[in-house]
Amino acid sequence: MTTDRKIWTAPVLANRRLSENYFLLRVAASALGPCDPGMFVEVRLPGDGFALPRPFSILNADGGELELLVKTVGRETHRLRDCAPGTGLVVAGPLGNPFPAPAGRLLLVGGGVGLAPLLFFRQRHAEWVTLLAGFRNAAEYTGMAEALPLTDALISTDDGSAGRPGLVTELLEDVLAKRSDEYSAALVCGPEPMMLSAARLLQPLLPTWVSLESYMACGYGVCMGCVVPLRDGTLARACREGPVFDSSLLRDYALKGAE
Amino acid sequence: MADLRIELAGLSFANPVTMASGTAGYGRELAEWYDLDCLGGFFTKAVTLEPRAGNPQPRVCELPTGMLNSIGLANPGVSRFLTEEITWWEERNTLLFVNVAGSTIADYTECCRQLGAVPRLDGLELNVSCPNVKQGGISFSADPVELGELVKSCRAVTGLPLIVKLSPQVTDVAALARVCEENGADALSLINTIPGLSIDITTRRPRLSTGVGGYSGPGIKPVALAQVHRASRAVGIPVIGIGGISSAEDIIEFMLAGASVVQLGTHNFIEPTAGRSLIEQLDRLCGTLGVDRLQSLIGAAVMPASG
Repeated sequence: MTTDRKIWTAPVLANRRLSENYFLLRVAASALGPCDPGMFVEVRLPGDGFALPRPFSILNADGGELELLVKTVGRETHRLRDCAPGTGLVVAGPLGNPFPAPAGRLLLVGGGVGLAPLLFFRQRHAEWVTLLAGFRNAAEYTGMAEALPLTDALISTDDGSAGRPGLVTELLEDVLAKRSDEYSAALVCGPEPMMLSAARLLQPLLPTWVSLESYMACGYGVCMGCVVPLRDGTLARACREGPVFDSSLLRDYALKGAE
Repeated sequence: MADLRIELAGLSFANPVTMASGTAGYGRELAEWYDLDCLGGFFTKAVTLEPRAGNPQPRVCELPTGMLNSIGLANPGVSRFLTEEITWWEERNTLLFVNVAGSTIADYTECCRQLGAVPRLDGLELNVSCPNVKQGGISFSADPVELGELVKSCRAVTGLPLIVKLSPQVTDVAALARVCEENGADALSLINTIPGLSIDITTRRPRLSTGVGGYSGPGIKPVALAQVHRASRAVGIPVIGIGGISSAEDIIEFMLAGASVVQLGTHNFIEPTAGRSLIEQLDRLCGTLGVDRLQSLIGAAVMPASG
């Protein structure tokens, strides 16, 4: 890996609440080297207590700024949600490997914060991409759509209040039933159960890459905390060999009998 | 500029900041952030005679005062370590120590024998205190006779400086420290992680796959300081301090307690450039404290007679 890694104190430029659980952080990033969709940064809000940095996929990294889509989950993401413009965050990156950009039309499937690397990907490769995006409800979709380029995405909501009712994987089934032969590959990022079922639908039809959201301590390959089992019996670090993997190489994603 | 050099076991450390085993891999990943030659030394991730895959996930979990890990000595084994990692270090000058783990005296001894004649190495650190594998050598930390035999056996197969990394989970660290010294150890390092448990109250399951793991981070610092203090008063060989170090102030505190050099562990996960920045901070702090020669601080804490 020849990535130019940096760690710097990044003032928050804007912190925008998108919905009940999501917010958009924009931080200064003039130190950040070139990055591609699928790569991530580690972010820490210095404070009195002990806290490991948190990994976030890059949503946008242009013009010396970095945009991150964050979901409030635990203590640290709540602290980040409440930080005002001007607050200094410690940001390290870029880390991990990006999505490949194979030729042909690509099918992108995402949910939650997993939409971040897919939106970044679509920004770079707009003309070749169909994006399927899953939300819990209309409010979550509307909140994100006001700030993020979601207008021409195919959407689903769990409660049926917008788009196709049901899970994004059901929307995916519809799309694959109608026109799977239009696509050359699929990129998936979202909660693990969603990625598992999406990969099972996609793998028989298309080369499929998933971006794993593994729990990690260091984010740069030394702690060995985020390893995932591969089909060949070895382990790979999600932070270093991933987070993007060809899903057929992952033990838990490989289809039974596929050898 | 203060004089940060430390003499230890016949080795000259440029400064007291070294990397703790298992928190910096074999060096390559950390070297993407800064030049490792600024460090006083580097202790590799544990090496065992045979390769080990390590434990299932989840292997790490965060706590308000540190973290738990249960990696399980994942490593490529000594042969692959020698063929794949040593060459990379030949282009670097930092003092290099290999952490050796095993389950029997024969395992440790064979590992030390294979590593003992590698010219690039500056020392071996016997890990007799990993809490995360069933046969991780931690039993050696509890039994002075076994520990003595282990140290003696490894001592016989290498001329490299031999450091023994002790567990904090012992009744009398001073007695174990003396056993190591009597059997030829050149230095001690302590502490390793402390056995710890965290349980998710909704699922009623432990947060690590193995249940109990090793507790590290700022929360263990007072325990580590007490152990360093006790061990360093008990023996004539130097002590390497480890446990929750995250600032230059922490380093000074460990040195006052009796540590000659320190190892930076969990803090590497928080900040990949921690090693380099703590060396810079240490230099400034020496200026503030009026310390010209850092070595003069070793064991300089003024303790009560009974302490």
